[in-house]
Amino acid sequence: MGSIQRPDPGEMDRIFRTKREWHKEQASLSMKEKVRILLSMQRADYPLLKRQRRLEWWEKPWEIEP
Amino acid sequence: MATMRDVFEVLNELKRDGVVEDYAVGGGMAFVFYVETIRTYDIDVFVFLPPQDGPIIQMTPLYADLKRRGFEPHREHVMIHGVPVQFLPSYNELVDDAIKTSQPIEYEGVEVRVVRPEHLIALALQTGGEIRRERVNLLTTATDVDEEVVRELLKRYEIAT
Repeated sequence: MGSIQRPDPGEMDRIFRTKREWHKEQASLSMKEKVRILLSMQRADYPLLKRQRRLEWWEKPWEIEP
Repeated sequence: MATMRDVFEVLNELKRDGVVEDYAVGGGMAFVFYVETIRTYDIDVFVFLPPQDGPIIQMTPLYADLKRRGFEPHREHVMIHGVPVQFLPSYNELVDDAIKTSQPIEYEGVEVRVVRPEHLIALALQTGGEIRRERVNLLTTATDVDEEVVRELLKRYEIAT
């Protein structure tokens, strides 16, 4: 088996830098926007979680606005 | 429909009315204040309760007050405006410190007291678990955490990393 080809280290640095920047951007969103995302995540996850395991009574999407 | 602002407002009312001496939002919701949105289904609130008779702190007075306000306790949570909130009386010195040093952060015109990132890291490492370690990684990647403060907390409270 030949040697495994690796990506250019500079390209990997760029990818990881972009990833870090994305996390920072998401972190800098307003709290209201983050809560809006959280509510949307809860609604999307709920049917999947319910299929995977028995949920606690409180593990359900919050019925509020951001 | 109620908003998250209404939920935080109730926490401030509890403090204003002396039902709790102080509080600080911790857990997953506190992380959301500092990093990207992470999944959470409840809000953890650390509290100092007013002095009581006897050596063991009772949650009954807090739950009774919340019930009078229309928020029904159910086992370890209280549903406040449709959001399950878990009140945790301060259970060790690190939590004491986390409440005392918490910072006010504004949410839609309401000030919410939130545990600082350095204390969130120490609490997460003290409690342990894979999910909490992931959250610590997120915090250190996305925010300016004072590493010296974290080191000092870990040393003071003898938390292994």
